[in-house]
Amino acid sequence: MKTRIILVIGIPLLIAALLILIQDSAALELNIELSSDPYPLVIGQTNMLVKLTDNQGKSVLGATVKAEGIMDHEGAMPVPVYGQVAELSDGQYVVSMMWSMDGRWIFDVTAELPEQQVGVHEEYDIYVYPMTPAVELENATFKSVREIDAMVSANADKELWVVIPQGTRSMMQTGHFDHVIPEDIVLSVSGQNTIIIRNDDIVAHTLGPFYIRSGETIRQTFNRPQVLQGTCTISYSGEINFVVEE
Amino acid sequence: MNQENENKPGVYSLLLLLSITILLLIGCSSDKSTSYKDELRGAVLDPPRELTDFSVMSTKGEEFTLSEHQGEVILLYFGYRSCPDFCPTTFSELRRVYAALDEPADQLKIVFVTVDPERDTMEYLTLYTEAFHNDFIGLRAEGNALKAIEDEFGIVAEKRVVGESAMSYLFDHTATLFLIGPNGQIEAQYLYGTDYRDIVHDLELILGTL
Repeated sequence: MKTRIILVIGIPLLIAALLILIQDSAALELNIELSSDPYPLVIGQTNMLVKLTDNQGKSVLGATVKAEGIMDHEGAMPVPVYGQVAELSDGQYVVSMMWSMDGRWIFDVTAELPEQQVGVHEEYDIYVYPMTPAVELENATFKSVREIDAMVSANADKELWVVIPQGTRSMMQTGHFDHVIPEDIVLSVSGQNTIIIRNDDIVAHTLGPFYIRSGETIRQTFNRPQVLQGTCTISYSGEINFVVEE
Repeated sequence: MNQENENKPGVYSLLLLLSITILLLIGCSSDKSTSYKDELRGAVLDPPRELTDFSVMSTKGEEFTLSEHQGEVILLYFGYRSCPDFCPTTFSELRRVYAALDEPADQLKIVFVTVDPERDTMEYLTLYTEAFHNDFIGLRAEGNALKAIEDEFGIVAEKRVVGESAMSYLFDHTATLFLIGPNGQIEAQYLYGTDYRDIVHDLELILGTL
C-alpha cells in the first residue's frame, strides 16, 4: 500500500521536476528591456536604463554592455554618440547618453557574457524631443525594431498593423515626418481582415473612427464589407479611408 | 477485509487525480477579467482605457457617478435628441441588444450622453431616452464638464449651422458605442453599424464573468 501511494503521488511530482530540469538546461539567452530617465527623451544628458535578464527571467550580472546612438534622417551626419555604461544591481545597467540633437535616432545596445559566449543585440528606433513635452506620462519601455517586426509579421495574413512611432506629432509639425501611410487602407473580410493600430507617440491620434491614446493599441476585426472615412492625424492629407472588401 | 481491498483502488484514483489537479493549477493561471479579451468582436483596446471618474445629472433624477457602477457593464453613447440618423438608429440597435440579453438591469447600464445640452433639457432628454426603454439612462453635462467627458472618450462633436435660427444646427459627432467593463475601463468600442448580435455576443461573454 505504501508503494502504491508513493507511486501515485510521486509520479506526477517526478514529471514536474523533470519539466523544471529541462527548462533549466535550455540554452542561455539574454533579453534586454530598455527604459530611460527622463521619459520621453529630450536633448541633453539622459540615462538609458538597460535591464538584462536571461530566458528564465533571472537578472544577468557582470555583462559587457555597449550602446551607441546615431541619427536616422536625411541630412544628419552619421557620427555615432557612445554611451558611458555603469552596472547598477539586479541586472540593471545605466547608459549615460548625451543627445546632441532632437529628432529620430537609432539606438544600438549590445550585451555580452564573454565567458559563456552568449550575447544579445537590439536596435531601437527612438525620438529625442527638443524640450520636455507638456504631457504627463508613465515611464514606458522601448520596443526594439526586432520586437516590433515580430509583432507586425506574426499573423500578417490576417492582421494589418499600423504602428505610430514616438515623435510623429512633433515631426509632422516640423515637416520631418516621412512615415506615411496610404490614404486608403484596404482590408479583406476573407483575408487580411483585422486592423491593429498601436500608438507609441506621446499624444493621442485619430485614424478615421479610431481614437487611440498614447500607449494604447486598438484591434478591430471586420466581418462585412464596408468603407469607413474620417480624419487622420498621421497623414498630411488629414484623411483616411478604411476599405473592407469581400 | 474484502471491503477494505475494494475501496483501495478508489482511494488511489482520488490521490492521483488530486496530484494531477495540483500540478495543473500550478502550471496554469487565468485572469478572469481578461480571459474573454481575444474573443470580443468589437474594437478591443489594449490595455483597457482607464477613465477619470465623473458625476453627471441623469434622467433618473439623481447623479450618475461612474465609479459607483464598478462591477457592472456600461454601454455608453454620445449623441443628441435632434440627430436625424445615427442616434435613433443606434438606440434602436441598443434596444435589440438589451432585449436579447433579457434586460439585465442590475448588470448592464445603457447610457446616453447628450452633446447638445443647449436644446436637450433634462425634460426632453428623459422623454427621448425613455422612449427607447425605461431602463436607459440619459446624462446631461454642460461646458467644461461635458468637454472633459468627451475628451476621455475622444469624442468629436462639432456644431454645424443649417438655418437662420440660432437653434437650427446639427452636430457632426463621433458615433462610436463604448463598452465599459466591470473594472470601469473602456474595454472595447463598436463602430456605427456594428451588427447588434456582435454586441450581444461580447456582452454575454463579459456578463458571464460577473
